[in-house]
Amino acid sequence: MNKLNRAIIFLFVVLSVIVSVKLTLCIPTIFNSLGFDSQNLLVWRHSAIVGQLPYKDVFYPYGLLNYWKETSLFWRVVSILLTISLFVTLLYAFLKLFKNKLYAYIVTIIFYVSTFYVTGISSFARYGVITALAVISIFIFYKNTFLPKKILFLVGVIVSLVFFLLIDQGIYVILFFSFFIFINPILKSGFTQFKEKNYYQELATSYSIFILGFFIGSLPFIGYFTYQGILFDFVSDFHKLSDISEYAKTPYLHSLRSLSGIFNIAVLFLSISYLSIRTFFISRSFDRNAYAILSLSFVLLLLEQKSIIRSIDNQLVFISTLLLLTLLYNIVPRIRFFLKKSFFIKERYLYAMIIIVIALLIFYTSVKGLPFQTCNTAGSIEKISSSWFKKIPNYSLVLNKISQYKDFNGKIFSFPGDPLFYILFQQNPPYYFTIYDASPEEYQNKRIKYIKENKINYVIYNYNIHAIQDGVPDLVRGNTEINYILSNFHIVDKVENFLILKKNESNEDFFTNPFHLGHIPKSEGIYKKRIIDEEGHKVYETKLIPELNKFLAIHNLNSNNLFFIFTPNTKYNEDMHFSIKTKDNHTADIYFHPCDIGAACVINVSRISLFNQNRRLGEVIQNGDFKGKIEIITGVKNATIW
Amino acid sequence: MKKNKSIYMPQEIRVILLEFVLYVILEALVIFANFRAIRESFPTTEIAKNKIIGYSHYYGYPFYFDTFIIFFLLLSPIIICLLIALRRKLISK
Repeated sequence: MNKLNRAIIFLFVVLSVIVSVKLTLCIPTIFNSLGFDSQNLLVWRHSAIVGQLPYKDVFYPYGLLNYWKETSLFWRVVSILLTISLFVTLLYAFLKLFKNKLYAYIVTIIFYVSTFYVTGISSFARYGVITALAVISIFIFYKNTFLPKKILFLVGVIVSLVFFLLIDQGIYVILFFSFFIFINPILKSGFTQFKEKNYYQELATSYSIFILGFFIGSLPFIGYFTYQGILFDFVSDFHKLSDISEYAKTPYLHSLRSLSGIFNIAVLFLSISYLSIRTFFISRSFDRNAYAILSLSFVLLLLEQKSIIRSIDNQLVFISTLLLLTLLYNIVPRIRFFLKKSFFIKERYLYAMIIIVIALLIFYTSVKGLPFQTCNTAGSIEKISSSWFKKIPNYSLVLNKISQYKDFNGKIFSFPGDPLFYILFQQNPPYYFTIYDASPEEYQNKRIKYIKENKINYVIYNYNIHAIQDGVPDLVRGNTEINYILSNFHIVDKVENFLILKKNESNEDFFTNPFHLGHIPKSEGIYKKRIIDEEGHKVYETKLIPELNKFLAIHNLNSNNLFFIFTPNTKYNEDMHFSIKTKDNHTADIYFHPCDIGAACVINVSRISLFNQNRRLGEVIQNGDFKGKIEIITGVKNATIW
Repeated sequence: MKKNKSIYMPQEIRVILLEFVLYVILEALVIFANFRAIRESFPTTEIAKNKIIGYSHYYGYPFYFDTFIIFFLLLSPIIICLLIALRRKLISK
């Protein structure tokens, strides 16, 4: 039986090596689609190859490893070894955790299948880092009340490596170890350590050594950043990562609407329930399996927090699967009993079945290719791009069209998010590739600066993309940028779903209609009405639209720095709809969510597409019944109100 | 055949488990019945200094509401166990 065990472990390692090598050499199927996400990944690859620096030349929300591996064979090998080590670490942990070998093998197979077919191997290579470190660290924590100083120092160094090489995983690893350094003595003492005086002293020493290790591990990276002159850019980009949560926030409670999301939450709930009941009513001492459940639950809880902001439900399935299998092993002793003395299948047949399943997995991953990966165009960025041109003629048509223009200076700008064009036109991309990444106004201004500094004459506007992400219209998300484009460029051509815009020579513009403001007027009313009252100058107030129109007919009101405030005195359930007509006979249709009775809805007129150039207001047309107060305000700093 | 002790739970644990499940159901019902009221008790997302318009700004959802709901659900077993332990302690006195 020992030989059989060795053969099975060998097969698992072979499978891990094949999968890890292919992961790095093959191309994820995400590149087959034309989503802005996949295009971003391609442009990052391209940027790395042409020698652009992350954080300085391009916005890069990930760690250095993924960037470096595009250009360096050494880092590509490191990347392969890292993935192999994740698989092998988890395999080792299963064999240690589950004394019943058969159960350990079954867990490993289920883990491989869920990783290959639900999570995806590239996601495993990312989220497996915190998972493997968490699972393997329980063996160290379980043995020691306070970790020995040498180990703590080493942990600090490893954490710093993970932090700089894979930023997001590094943050989770820091949180994980900080939590376990604190909680471990308490768990080991059966929740009595709080009372000990030396607990706090030991804790302070432990954290100091951990931080020292982290600092020492950081030095090579700080040296690299300083040498490249990107230390400030790295710190600044890291600081700005918090903005991502605001613009990347996904729809409400989405996890409860997906099968994998429900699975993750249910498993996590079960685990926390098990640990709570066990600790409060059964036993306060934590055995190794209880440690495993606690550490996996903590990891899943951390990642679930991310998933609420940016959905990663599928990516987390492999962790919840491991957690469930560990939990089952603990709470259903019949499993161990059944596997020890099976009434139906002899043990050797179970072993034979396991070997067959692993052999099949090896066959499918090596011969048929990995799920979610394609190996037919392995290799360089050039190969991916050229294969793409053939698949998507629209892009090459645009390239050919613009290249023929006499005044084309070789540079274009893509709105809202087709950064692939920057590879096609062989130009350095803007710092933020798409309007989604540049959601904060400051970043949009940076993109506008790129247009100006590169003297870009042509903008490629993909009008098929109404909302690049989460249903938020690009006209609203990227309002500053689109207003600049609409007022400085005009349409010269159309190729399939792309409008080719040319820089204005005269004062012409174009605009889009209608304009949906969503909840913005309501939110601005709640938070900024006070500022308007303090800073603003009320030009006019009425309850009757005809009176307002008489006023507009007599006075020449400019749209710049002008605000409309609608305060209803009855309840409205449907979106409000007003049209504003200008004196040069253009009309803007504006929709927005109604405010509560007596609450102000604030509309900054210059945010509306039609008013990206200063225009004179002619008439307000009410569509539907509005009862309440209408005010016109000027004098408020435009920078304050959206 | 030798019986594995952990297969059979003591009577007390069974009662605790039953009580635990009842509390969980009660909690779920309370959240379900007051969902809208809880949501409206959270502030609408503000468009802050950086003028970011994301999903919660555009659709008017409180930014941390779903984080609160899910974490409350996930961590509620600890609170429930604490309540059960306290209740049992009070009764035994």
